[in-house]
Amino acid sequence: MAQFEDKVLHELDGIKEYDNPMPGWLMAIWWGSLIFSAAYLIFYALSFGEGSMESEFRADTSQALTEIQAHYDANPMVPPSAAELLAGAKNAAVLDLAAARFTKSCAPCHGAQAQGLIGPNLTDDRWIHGGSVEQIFQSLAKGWPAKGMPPWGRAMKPEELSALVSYVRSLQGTNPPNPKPAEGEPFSPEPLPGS
Amino acid sequence: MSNTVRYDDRTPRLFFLAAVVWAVVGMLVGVLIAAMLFLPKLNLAPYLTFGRLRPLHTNAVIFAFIGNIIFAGTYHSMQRLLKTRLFSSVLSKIHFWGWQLLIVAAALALVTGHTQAKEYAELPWVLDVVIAVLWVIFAINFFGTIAIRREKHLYVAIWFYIATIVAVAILHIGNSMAMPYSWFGSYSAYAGVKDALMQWWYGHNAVAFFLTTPFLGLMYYYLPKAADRPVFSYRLSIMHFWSLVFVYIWAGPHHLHYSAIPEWASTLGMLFSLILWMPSWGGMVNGFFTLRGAWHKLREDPILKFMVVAVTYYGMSTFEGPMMSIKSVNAVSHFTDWTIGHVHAGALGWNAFLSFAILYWAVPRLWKTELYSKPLATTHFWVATIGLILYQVSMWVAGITQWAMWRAFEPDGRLVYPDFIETVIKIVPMYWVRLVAAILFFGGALILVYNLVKTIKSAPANFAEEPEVNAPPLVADLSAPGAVTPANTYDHALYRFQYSLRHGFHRILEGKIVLFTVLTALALAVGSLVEALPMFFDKSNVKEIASVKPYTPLEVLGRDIYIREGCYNCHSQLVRPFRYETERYGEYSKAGEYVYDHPFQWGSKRTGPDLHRVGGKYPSLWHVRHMEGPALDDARLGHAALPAPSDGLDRRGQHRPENARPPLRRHALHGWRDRDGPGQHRGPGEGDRHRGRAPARPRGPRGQGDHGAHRLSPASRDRHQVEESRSAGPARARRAGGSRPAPRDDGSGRRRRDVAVLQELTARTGATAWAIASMLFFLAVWLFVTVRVFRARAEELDAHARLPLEGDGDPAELPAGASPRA
Repeated sequence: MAQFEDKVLHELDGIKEYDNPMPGWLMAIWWGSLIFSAAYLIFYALSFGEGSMESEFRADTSQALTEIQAHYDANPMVPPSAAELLAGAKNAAVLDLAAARFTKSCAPCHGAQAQGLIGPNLTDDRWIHGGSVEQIFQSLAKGWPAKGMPPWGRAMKPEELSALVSYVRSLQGTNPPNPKPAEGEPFSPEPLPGS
Repeated sequence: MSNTVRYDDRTPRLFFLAAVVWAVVGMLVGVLIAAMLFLPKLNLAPYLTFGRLRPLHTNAVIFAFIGNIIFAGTYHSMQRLLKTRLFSSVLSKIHFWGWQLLIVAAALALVTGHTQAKEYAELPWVLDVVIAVLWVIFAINFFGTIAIRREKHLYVAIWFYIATIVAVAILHIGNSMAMPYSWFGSYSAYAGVKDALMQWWYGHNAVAFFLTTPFLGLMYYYLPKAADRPVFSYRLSIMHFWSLVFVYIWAGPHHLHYSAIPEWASTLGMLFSLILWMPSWGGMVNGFFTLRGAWHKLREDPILKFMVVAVTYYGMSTFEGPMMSIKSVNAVSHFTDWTIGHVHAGALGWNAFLSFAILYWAVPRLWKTELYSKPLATTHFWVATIGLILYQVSMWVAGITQWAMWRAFEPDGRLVYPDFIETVIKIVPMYWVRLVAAILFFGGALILVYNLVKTIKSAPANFAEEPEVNAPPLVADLSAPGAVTPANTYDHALYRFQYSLRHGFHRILEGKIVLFTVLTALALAVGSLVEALPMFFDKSNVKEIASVKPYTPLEVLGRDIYIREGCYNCHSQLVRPFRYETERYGEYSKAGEYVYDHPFQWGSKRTGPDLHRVGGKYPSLWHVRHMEGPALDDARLGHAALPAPSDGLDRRGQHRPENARPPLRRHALHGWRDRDGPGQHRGPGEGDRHRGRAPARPRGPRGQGDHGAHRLSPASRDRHQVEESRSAGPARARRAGGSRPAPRDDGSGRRRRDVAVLQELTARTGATAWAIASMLFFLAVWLFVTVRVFRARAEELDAHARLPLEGDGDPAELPAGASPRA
C-alpha cells in the first residue's frame, strides 16, 4: 500500500479527519466506468436497434428454428404406429409411466378415473374427435385449443405421449363412477393384441 | 447563552431498544417464511400465509429494525457532532411513539390483506400519510437541531443524514400517489409501465437512501469511534458523497431489464449502476482505510469484527449489484433466488452487522456501563457470519440452478423441464440450507438480546443523567450580507477567496445548511426527472394496443383478490423476450398490454410460474377447479393455502360448502387471470395465436402428416416476430367474448412493416437525445466538481505548509494581518 501523508485536517467530537488522496485504482474504476458508459451509450444509440432486446430475440429464435429444423431433417420422426400404441396398452411399464402423468396433467380436466369432468369421458365408446389410437394421439399432441384441450406435443416427452394414448386405450370400458354423459360419435375400440 | 449543552440521550435509548425488539420480530417472520416456502403446511390461511407475511418481513426488518437504528444513531451522533441538544423533546417523543404505532398498524394491515402490492411500499395509503407526517416531524427535529448547532461545519455523517431525509421524502411521496377507494384501499395513480418505473425508482432508492446513505453516515461516526482511528480521507468523502447522491437515483430501471419498459430506460439504469461502483466503494475504502493501524484490535474486539464484515459486505454487494445490473447477467439473476441472496448480502451483511456493532458500542455508553459479555458478542459474530455465508451461497446455487433448468432445451426444441414445479423441487435442498442459515442468524440476534438485557441491568442508578459538555454558541457569521460589522469589505471578500483556496469550496458549503440541502435535492432531481418525464410525456414509450380494454368489474374484483393475497410475491406477470420464456409462457409482454394495470403486478421473483398468459392456456373451468383444489404438485409447494377460507375453501385448498360464500369471489380471481386468454369463448385456432405459439412448430410428435402443414420456415417465423413486435396498433379487434389477443399485426405486408420500423427509429432517436443530453450533463457536472475538488485540495495542501491549522475553523476569524476587525 502506498504511504499516505496522514495529515489531520479537522477534528470533531474526538474524530479526526485525514485528507489523503483517493487511491488511484478507485479513480480508475470511476473513470473507467464513465468512459465505458459513454462509449456504450454512443454505440448503443448509433446502432439504431441492432443488438437491441427485440432483434436479439428474433435472431435467437430464428437461429434456434434453423437448428431444430436441421435436427428434424437429420432425425425424421414418425408418429407411433397403431400397433405400437395398442401394444403399449398391455405393457405394465408403459401404463405406470402414463398413469403418473395422467394424474398430473390430465386428471384435472378428465377426472381421476378419466370419467370426464371439464373434458369428455375417455372411458366410453363415444369420441368427439375420433377414437382410433392414431386419432387420439393427434388430439393429444396438437390439442383442440378452441375447445380447451391444450396441445401437449411440446410439453411432454414423445414416449409420454405414446404411453398416455396406450393408457387411455386401456381404460376403454372401465365404467368409472359418476361418468360424464357421452358425447360425440360412437367408435368401437380397436382390439388389443393377443385378445 | 450558556456555554454548556446537555445531550438528550433518552431518545436514542428508546429508539435503540425498539430496534432490538423489531429486529427479533422481523427476523422471526423471516425464518417462518423461509420455511413456509417449501413446507406449505406452515401457512395458516387466511392471515399467516407466505403472500401476506413476506411483505411483513421486508417492512419489519427495513422500516422497523433498520429504521429505528437509523433514528437512534442519527439522534445519538448528531448531538455530539453538532455539539447541541436535540431541537425538541416533544417532537422526539411524537416521532418515537408514532413510528412504533405505525409499525404495529402496518403489521395488522398486512396480515389482514390490506396492501398496495408495490414492493417495500405495500402499506395502505392512510399509513403512507402517517409515514409522511412522521418523516416531516423527523425532518423538523433534525434540521432544527442543525439550526441550533454549535459547530459551524457539518461532518460527513451529517451530509449523509441530510441526503437520507430529503431523498426518502421525495421517493415516498412520488411512489405512493394513489386514488383511495376506502380507508385502507387504493389504486396506484400510475399504471403499467409507468407504475413499474416509479415503483423501482422508489424500490431501488429505498435501498439507496434508507439502507445505504444513513448507514454510511452511521459508519462515519461509529467506525472511527470504535477503532479510535482518524477518518482516511476527507476529499474521498466529498467525492463519494456527491457522486453517490447524484448517480444512485438513476439506477432504478435495472430492476426491469427485458421487461416492457422502453429500452433507453433500461440502458440508463444499467450504465448508471456501473458508474455507481466507485461512489459505493468510496465508502468502503474510507471505512477500511480508517482501520489502518487498528487491525490488531480485531483479535480482541467483537465490535470491530462486526464492522469489518459489514464494510466487506457493503463492498461486496455494491460490486455484485452493478454486475447484476448488466443486462445479460440480469437475464440470469432476475426472477431467481440470486436476487434474494444479493438483497440479503446487503441487508444482513451490511445493515444488520453494522447495526449489531452500533448496538454493542452505543448501548453500554448510553447506559453508562460496560458490555455484559465480550465472548457472547464474539459468539454472536461467528454464528451470524456462518449464517450469512450459508444464506448467500445457497441462494446463488438455487438461483443459477433454477435459471439453468428454465432455459434448458432438448435438441428438438422442447423444454427439458416443461413443468415449472420440477425446477422448484430441484432447489428445495437449498431452501433447507437457507432455513438453517436464517435460524443461525436469528439465533445470533437472540444472543444479542440476552447480552444487551444483561448490560442494561448492570446500569448504574444515575444512568439517565444527561451528559454535559462545554460548547460555546457560534458567533454570528460576520461575512453574512447585511452584517453591521466591517465584514463586508474588500478585505473580507479577499479573505473569503483565500479561505476558499485553502479549504475548498466545500468547506464553505458545509457551513451553509440550506444551500447544502438544496444542492442535494437538485442532485436527486436530475436523474429522477430525466427518467420520469419522457415516460409521462412521450407517448411512443407505451405503444397503444387497440384490443386492450379496461377491466370488467368481475376482473377488477379478481385482481383485488390477487393483490390482497400477495400473489405477486411468487408469480410474475411479465414474459421476457427470451425463447425459453416464450416457449414456456407464450408471446413476450408488451407495454401496451398494461395500460389499465393499477398497480402493475409484474413481480420480481418466480417461485411459481409466470401468469401473464396462463388464462388462455386452459379452459375457465380448469382454472376454477385449480383454485378450489390445487393440482397435486402445487399442493406440495405452498399452494395448499392459496384460497382463503373466506372464499369457501379450507387451508388445504379443499372446498368446504359450509363456509362458502356465493361463488362470485372464487370465480372473480379466475375471471381476471383469464382475461389475457380466450378462455372458453375463443374461436378456432385463436388460442394458439394468442399465446404466440405457432401450433406444433417443427417438432410435431413424430410429426409427419398433418404437422407438416404447421411447420414454419425460419424465415417466416422471423417475419412473424418482426410484425408482431413492430406493430403499434394491431388491427385485430377484440372479440365480444371478452378476452384480448396478444398484440399482433394483421400482416398487411412490407409497407406496414417499414412504417413501423420508421416509427421505432424516431422513438429511439428521441430517447437517444434524452440519453445523450443527460450523459453530457452528468459529465459536465462531474468534471466540474472533480476538477474543483482536486485543484482546491492541491492548493490547500500547499497552503498547509505555510499556515498553522489554528483559526482556520471560521471565515469570520481572520488571520491577524488581514483582519478588518483590527
